[in-house]
Amino acid sequence: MRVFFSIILLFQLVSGQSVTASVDVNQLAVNETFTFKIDTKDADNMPRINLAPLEKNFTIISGPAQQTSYQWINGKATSSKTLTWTLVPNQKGQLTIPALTVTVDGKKLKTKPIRINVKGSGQVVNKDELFLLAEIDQDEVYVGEQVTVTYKLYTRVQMSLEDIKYPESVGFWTEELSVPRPPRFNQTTINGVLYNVATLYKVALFPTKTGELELTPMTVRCNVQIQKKRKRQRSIFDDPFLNNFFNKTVQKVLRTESRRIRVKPYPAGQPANFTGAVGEFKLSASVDTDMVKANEAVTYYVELQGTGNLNMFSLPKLDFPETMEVFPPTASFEQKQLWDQFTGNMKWEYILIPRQAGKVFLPRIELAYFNPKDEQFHSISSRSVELNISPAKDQLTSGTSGFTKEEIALLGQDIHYNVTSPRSWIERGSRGIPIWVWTSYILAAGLFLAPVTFTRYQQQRIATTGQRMSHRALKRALKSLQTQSSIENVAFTVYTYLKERWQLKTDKMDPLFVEQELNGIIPPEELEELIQLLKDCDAGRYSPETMTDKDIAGTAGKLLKKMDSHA
Amino acid sequence: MKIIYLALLVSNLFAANADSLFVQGNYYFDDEKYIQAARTYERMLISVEHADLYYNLGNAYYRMGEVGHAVWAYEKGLQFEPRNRDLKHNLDFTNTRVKDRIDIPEGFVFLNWYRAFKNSQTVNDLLIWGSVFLLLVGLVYALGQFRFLGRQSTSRLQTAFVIFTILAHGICLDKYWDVTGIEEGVILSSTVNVYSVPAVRDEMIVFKIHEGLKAEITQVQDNWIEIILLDGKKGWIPINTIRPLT
Repeated sequence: MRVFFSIILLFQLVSGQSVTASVDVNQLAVNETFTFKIDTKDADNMPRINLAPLEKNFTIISGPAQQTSYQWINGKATSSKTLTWTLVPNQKGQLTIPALTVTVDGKKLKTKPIRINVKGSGQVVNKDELFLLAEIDQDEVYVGEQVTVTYKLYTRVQMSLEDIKYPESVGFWTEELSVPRPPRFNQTTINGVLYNVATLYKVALFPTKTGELELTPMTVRCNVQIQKKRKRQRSIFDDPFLNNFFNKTVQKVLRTESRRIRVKPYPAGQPANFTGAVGEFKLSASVDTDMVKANEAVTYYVELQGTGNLNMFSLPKLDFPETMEVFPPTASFEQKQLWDQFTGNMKWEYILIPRQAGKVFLPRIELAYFNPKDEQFHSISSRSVELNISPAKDQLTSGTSGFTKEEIALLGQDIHYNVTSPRSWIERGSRGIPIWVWTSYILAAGLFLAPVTFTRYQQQRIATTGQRMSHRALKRALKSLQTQSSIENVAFTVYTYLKERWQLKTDKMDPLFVEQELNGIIPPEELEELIQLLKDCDAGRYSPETMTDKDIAGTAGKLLKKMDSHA
Repeated sequence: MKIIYLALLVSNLFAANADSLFVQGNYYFDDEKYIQAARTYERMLISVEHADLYYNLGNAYYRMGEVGHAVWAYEKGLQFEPRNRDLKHNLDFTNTRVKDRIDIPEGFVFLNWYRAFKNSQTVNDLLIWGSVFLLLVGLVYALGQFRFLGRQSTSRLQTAFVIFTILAHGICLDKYWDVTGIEEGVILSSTVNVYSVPAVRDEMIVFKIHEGLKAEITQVQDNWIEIILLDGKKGWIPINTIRPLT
């Protein structure tokens, strides 16, 4: 039953644009709301208004609501842009909406002040009797970490909720947590005073940016019943059923105080595959069936369980093998009810159609997340799922034909990684036959020559034995003559010497044979002497007495020395 | 004396320079700056070569999406180390991205085995085989001459090793002729028209080939190269569309 009451305060026609401020009522009680409107004509953009001067005496409950309208009058178009707020006075008395500066298309225009008469109603409910509280579980969080805000209504009076304006905070991803609807009242005592408490709204906020973020306040409009003071203490009307007739209903607007939350950036060491997951998660992947045939669909489930900002991040892109047709996944989310921490199950379902038979590995999924509890990054991954695809009964398509079996085995893979350590570089143009080849050729040649060489060597060795013996023959003979000078020994020594030195190989050695052999090799006089000596020895052997006075060993020694030089 | 010293210094400088370039190239690669990585490796190739260098170069080109260059680098690396598994894997893997699929005519089984063996060896490998067998012939001969081995076993072993020696050297010669006689190249451009004459004439297009295909080069004439594919198709392509594997 409000009479629309409008006061036109300003009508500026100087530059085409004009601004008007108006209110719907100017006589009201402390707890009553009113509408404040700013209307601009012929403006191209929405006006910007500084409402700071208002906030001393009034509280903005909602707004601004924007509205644009066009009008054609006598072929002339006029447009108007309207901003509307719902305000409530903070105190009683004569209040003034001060002159406000409105910026329209770069121009600054001023509105005229509006006076509002606020009646102080005697039945104003005390602040202690009815209030709204926003409880925050923590006021310093990381980006993506959950802040739980609980809006609670405390009351000691009879009241009913009329309207709740839920806050919409900027800079947060909001997930509503479940609260009983309609609100259930419980009893608690604060400082010995009994209150009825109801949780009106509970929300999990996940900040999306760093810095100081402000929670917008929640506004609740409720009707409070206040008993009229009556003179009669007891009457038939003092009946609960009839109470309403005698009680007065007062509207009251409740607001929470604005709260600030400090949002911290992540600590250093953010992994490359981090997509913004904050909390604690578990990841699993499975396939609906093990028996897969080519051209038949398989469902690949990826399930993410945990507590955290489940809706705020995406799974890393999965690289399915090229032999599979992949349909975009369907995602579903199942929230665990009645948990204060935002907890649930994210499930993705990929429909895959393998086009080729063979063994295929479905990619393993890796997810990096930040756990604000231990302030560290973690990584989880699912196992890669192996699929054995049996060939289809009848090959319908051959879209990727031309591949050999080996090539199909390769399709799901990647190239191998680089060699990283430096090598022994081959200089350009220096590729020759390796040294090993030369070595073994030479060794082989050596082995071929070895037996021949060895035989030769041995023959030579045999040949030189006699020579070596003959060299030493004189020495030995002289030594023998010195030690024993008997006739027998002299004869034996001389013959031995001749045998060794002159290689006279025979069993019967006698002067005649010696003469025959050595004739022409040694000078004749020496030969004569030798023959004489040998004859003497023979004679001496058979009649030793004839030769006793002669120094036969001495002459033999001298002769052998002389002879030796001719050999 | 001074000159020798200087030469030594220069070669040392080369090696050190190559090492640092290699490390730099790998650094670029890890940083996903594949173009710079490939450029760095190519710069190294001016002075030095190595199978692993070609391997990394191939990887860089593969990541750039240059299939033709990647195939070229891997093939080049395999010339040095034909049994390098990583090189083979990456080449096979890159070949799955090559559009042209040429079916090699089926040959005689033993001939295929022979080719497979020949392709798995370098000239030097075969030379080593040959020389080792020759060494064994010599060893058996020597042992036989010295009667360390029986006459019968000597002659048997010797015959076997002589056959092996001759085989190894024969294959080596064959391989050497392959390497020096057959010139091959890898197509670099994404699509190349093959003409029947060394000139651009639309009506003379015989067939089309794509990036990454290996072809034998039979003739070079001015700015044109005559290629022959594995299945026997012949034609002319511009010289800048192919990178020779020599």
